[in-house]
Amino acid sequence: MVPGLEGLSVVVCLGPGGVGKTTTSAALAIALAQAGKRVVVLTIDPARRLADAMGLDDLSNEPRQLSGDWSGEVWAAMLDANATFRAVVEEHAADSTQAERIVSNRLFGDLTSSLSGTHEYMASERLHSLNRDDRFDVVVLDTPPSRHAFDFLDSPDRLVRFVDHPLYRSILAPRQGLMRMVNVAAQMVVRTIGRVVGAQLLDDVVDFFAAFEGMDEGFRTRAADVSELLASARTGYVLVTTPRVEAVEATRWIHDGLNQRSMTPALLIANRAMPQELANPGRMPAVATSAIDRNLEQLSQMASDEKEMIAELAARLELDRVVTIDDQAEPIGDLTGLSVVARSLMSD
Amino acid sequence: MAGKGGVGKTTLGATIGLSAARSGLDTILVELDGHSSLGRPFGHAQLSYDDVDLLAGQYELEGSLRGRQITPDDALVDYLASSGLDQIGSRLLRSGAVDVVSTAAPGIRDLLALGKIRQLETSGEADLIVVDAPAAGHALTFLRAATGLRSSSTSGPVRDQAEAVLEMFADESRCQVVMVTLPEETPINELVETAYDIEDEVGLKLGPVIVNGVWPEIDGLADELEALGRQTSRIGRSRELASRYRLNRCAAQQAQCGRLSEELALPQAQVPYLFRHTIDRDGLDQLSDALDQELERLGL
Repeated sequence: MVPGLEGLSVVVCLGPGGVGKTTTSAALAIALAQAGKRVVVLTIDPARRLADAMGLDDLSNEPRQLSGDWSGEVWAAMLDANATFRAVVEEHAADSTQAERIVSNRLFGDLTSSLSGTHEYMASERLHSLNRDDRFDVVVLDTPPSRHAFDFLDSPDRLVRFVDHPLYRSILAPRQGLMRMVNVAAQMVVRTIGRVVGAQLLDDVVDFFAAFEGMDEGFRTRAADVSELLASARTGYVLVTTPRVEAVEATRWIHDGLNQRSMTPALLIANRAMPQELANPGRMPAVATSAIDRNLEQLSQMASDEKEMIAELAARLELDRVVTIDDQAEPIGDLTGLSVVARSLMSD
Repeated sequence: MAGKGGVGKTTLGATIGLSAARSGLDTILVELDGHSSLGRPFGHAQLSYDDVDLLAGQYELEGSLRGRQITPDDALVDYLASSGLDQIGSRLLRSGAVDVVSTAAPGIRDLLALGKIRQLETSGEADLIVVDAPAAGHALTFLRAATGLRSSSTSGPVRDQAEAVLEMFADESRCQVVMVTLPEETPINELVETAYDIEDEVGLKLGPVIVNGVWPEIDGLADELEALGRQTSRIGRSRELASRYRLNRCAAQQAQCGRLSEELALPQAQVPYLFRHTIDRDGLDQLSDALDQELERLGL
């Protein structure tokens, strides 16, 4: 079993960009499956890396099962915000007329394809449904880099705040036919927004949200569920980093962000390290004259700096579960490569 | 500047800024949030909305180099003030209305920042503005905000702002995207994908691609390794391991650079890996020299 991840239903991988987070998430899924778990790994980072790492042409919103040398199961999926939004609308709309009214709104396409933010709400909806799916014991989440991961972690609460915001309520109030006095101050704010964003866009927004009539409570409830799940002991956080200054700094920043949200990482993975034995290369000549020794000098200096950097990071984060993975000469492009990484993640 | 996280996009942004200032241009470096470290090589841990002289007391250059941060909230207040609506700006922020609107139409925040950059460009305050865009796919989301909001907003200031930004995007003499990558599989794949999207969907012209962190080859290393023979001592095994690691790394990197030029017909500038953990002023000068040489070689 991977140390620190026993008994979890959600494993969230966080880390700065370019540290091999997606590959590590896939390797974690395999390691968990080798311990007998039925695992689905979901990438919510809008990049194709997961498919590449697994040697697949493509991945979609619907989990796809992979076969390999493990006693559990490994499934993989890539978040498709548009498809998820459609699925949510179709599942929860009162009838097909309401669903049609929502997906045909001009904003629907814009929201799911070109504008940021929606992606995170849909990631939260997707996590909600995969977590409840009986086919899986564990969901491994590969998040977008650094602060965008927090956009995701914060999105359920943001949605709840949005639906609860008096402004949202007052925008919709007249449409809902409530004959109550609308807050005058809120109406003024609405008019001001109209002046800035244009009355047309505001009307579209109002139409769009009005089309969700009766569904917003469902959005709210599911977002609150996910928020609760992410804060609970059923969710574990794995920090992925590389032994480089920027990555280490970004990792400390992510760790602080987790702490502010009362979340504690279970494990630190230091990926793409120089071969660790180069940190202690044996007796070096006093002056490196040959090409070989000049190179060895340079690389062993790097290897020992890296080792020190990771030890310092672990100490500062007060994490005693650290796994270092040596840099693989070749990019990982199949399940065999991933299994090699998975093995270095397992404790003895 | 666009590129996947961790490829050195920010460092190369600072490098381009320094090169430009050295060649006599008045240059502004712009970061879009508080987590960029554009100012760091110049000894400024944090940039603010008001620009600072990054080279004060450090360099004697023909041009100048300033740095600043542009956040959506600041840009909004600024924008409202310039539209004669300054009294409502802070009220909008206080009431949380901006949050509500940007939840409903999230591209608004990106558009506000883009609009501020455009205003800076039009004002003629600088000869060159270098913007450190969000990482990877988020750069695309950021750049697309104008297209998205033009189609969803048919009139009003947001529409005007979007139009003005798109006009700047469409003019390659005003605006180009420089993509940065490492000579590795994943960053290159993502670069190629993002490059096509930026060109096709946003209509921005792509400048040269910068490949960062290219390990310099060591002359004679391969021959010496071949002559080394079987090693049994600890230092002997380390020599062998380190040599192989270096040779493999260099070969793999060059193969990736070759693949990049096949897949993307853009001029490619390579800058070396410096084998140091942080890039200070001195490191930035080295990178800037290397970049100037490469751009000259490419005739740019």
